[in-house]
Amino acid sequence: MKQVIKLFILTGLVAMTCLSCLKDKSPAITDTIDYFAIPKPVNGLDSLIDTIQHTYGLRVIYKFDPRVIDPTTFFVPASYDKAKGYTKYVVEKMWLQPISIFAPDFAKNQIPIEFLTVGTAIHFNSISSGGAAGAGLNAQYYRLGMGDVNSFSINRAWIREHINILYHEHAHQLDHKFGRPKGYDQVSQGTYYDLQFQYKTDDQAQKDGFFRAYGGYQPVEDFATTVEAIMRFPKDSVMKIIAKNPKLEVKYKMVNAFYLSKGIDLHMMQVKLDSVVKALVP
Amino acid sequence: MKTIHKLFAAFFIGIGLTACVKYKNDINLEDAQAKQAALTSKVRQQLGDAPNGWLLMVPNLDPTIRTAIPIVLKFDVAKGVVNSTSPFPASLSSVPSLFELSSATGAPLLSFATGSIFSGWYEAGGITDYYFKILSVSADSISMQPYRKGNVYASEGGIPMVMYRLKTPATWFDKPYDLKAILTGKTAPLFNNANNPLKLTYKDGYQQPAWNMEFDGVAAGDMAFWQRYVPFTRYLGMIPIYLFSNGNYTVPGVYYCGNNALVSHLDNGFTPAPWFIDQPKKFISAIKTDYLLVRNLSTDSAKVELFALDKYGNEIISGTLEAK
Repeated sequence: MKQVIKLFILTGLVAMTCLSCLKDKSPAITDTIDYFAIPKPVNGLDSLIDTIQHTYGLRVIYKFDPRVIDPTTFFVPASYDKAKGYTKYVVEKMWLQPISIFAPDFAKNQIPIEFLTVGTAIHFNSISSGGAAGAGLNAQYYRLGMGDVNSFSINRAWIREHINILYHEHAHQLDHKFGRPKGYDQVSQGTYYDLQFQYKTDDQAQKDGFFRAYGGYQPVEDFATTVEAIMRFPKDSVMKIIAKNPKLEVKYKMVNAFYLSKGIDLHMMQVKLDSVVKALVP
Repeated sequence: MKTIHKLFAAFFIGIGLTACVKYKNDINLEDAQAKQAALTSKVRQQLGDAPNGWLLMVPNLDPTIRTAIPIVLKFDVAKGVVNSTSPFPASLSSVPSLFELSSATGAPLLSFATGSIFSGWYEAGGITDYYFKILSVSADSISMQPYRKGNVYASEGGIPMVMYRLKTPATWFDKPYDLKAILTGKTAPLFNNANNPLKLTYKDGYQQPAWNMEFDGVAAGDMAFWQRYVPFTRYLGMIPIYLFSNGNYTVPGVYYCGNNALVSHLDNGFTPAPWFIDQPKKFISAIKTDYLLVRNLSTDSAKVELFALDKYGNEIISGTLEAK
């Protein structure tokens, strides 16, 4: 009997030893540590950004630190005064506010949560890569970045044109998120210009089935420039453009339906933005 | 035999009690965060503790250039604002430049976080980043390195540079001269004279060849182009003029007037290349510096006293440009 008890105890101890050596599969972390906590506002722009975030759920980032500096893309922060004016006039008054009023579902579901104010262009190979530069940063669902903020001025034409480019860059994000409408890429398949778009006029491009020459670069830009055109021109002008080539009508209908399904009527927004910019810059 | 069993039992009990160590004690992230906060705080304190500011000497990417461009920085750590004085007129802007310190990725990083002379200089290709790894901190100097080389195909890390705590105020940029008028004004001696030798003396024994300088202004239409497209002018406020060297009236080089500084800058983005690259390169190669600071100007504006500093902030070149 004693032998059995000893054997039992010994077996128990060995088992305990083996099992007690098993560690947790993941470290025991009781809380998430935010290494990039949002600081308290120290100036007028910080306060404006806090208000915008509280109201619309989007945080404008104008101070660039390791969290937003991408080691392999080259862009610079905007100057403080330009970032401040841009945040007020373009981000809040021209983009978020009209969307939240006239397209609340779109505002709720499709707006990123971070927005970078980039001083100049987005360069992809080096900071001095010249013309090979982008107007915005759009590769992440949660963050949109717009370039050329250092050119901001309280000028009606500049603000109105810039918002078209903003819709263009945001269209890239929606493209990443949902994909282009089914069949979109087949409409102009085989007729894209590739880099030869640089030698085409917008008029020629429209006859070839693209809203502007850059849209003929590739399907990604075709989609974004179609959105841009609907935001830039009144509906009757868009109708005149699509009459130039049946492919344009097909693409226009696809894009319009895509945005309507996300909760925004681009034609209606185009009209509203014309009014808003006139009120902002009389 | 019984003793062996007891020893076995004691052995296994011992292992069973001590082996039960979990990750919770191995990795304490709160300690890491506190350590990073302490490190950032120390660097911040050091940056702010310099009543006369810091002198940052920025070496040129060309190793044959013996000088470094001085930037005087004053950090207001309470407001997170950095003020600069430098050869670049953009330093004189009243728009505040904000800086950020972070240790979140391990090493302390200093970012000139909003538009600044660093972002402008970066766009112009003169410096390879606007945010820096801090390599070492001592009572009188801070070593730092641009995070990138400015090109996606290049490895990480630019040329290391040093900031020195200034014991006395640097006054080089306090009284700006209108160098454009001094060199290209219609009644300026240095514009009207064809014989304007640049005579420089080098502390390291280098002998500069004779170099005659003649100048011409840039037409208003061309100036508008520079202001719109050329980063060195658009973002740093540098004023372009034409430099005709040693009687060569066929091909000028673009030369820039700054804040008490005459600066050569190579710009690969523009043509004609002899103006933007070849001629400035020849001049830099001959005088071994890409800038000269103005120490003094004669009352008749016919003689300019010049100097330049090495990467330690010591004067290494001095001399004159004089209309003979």
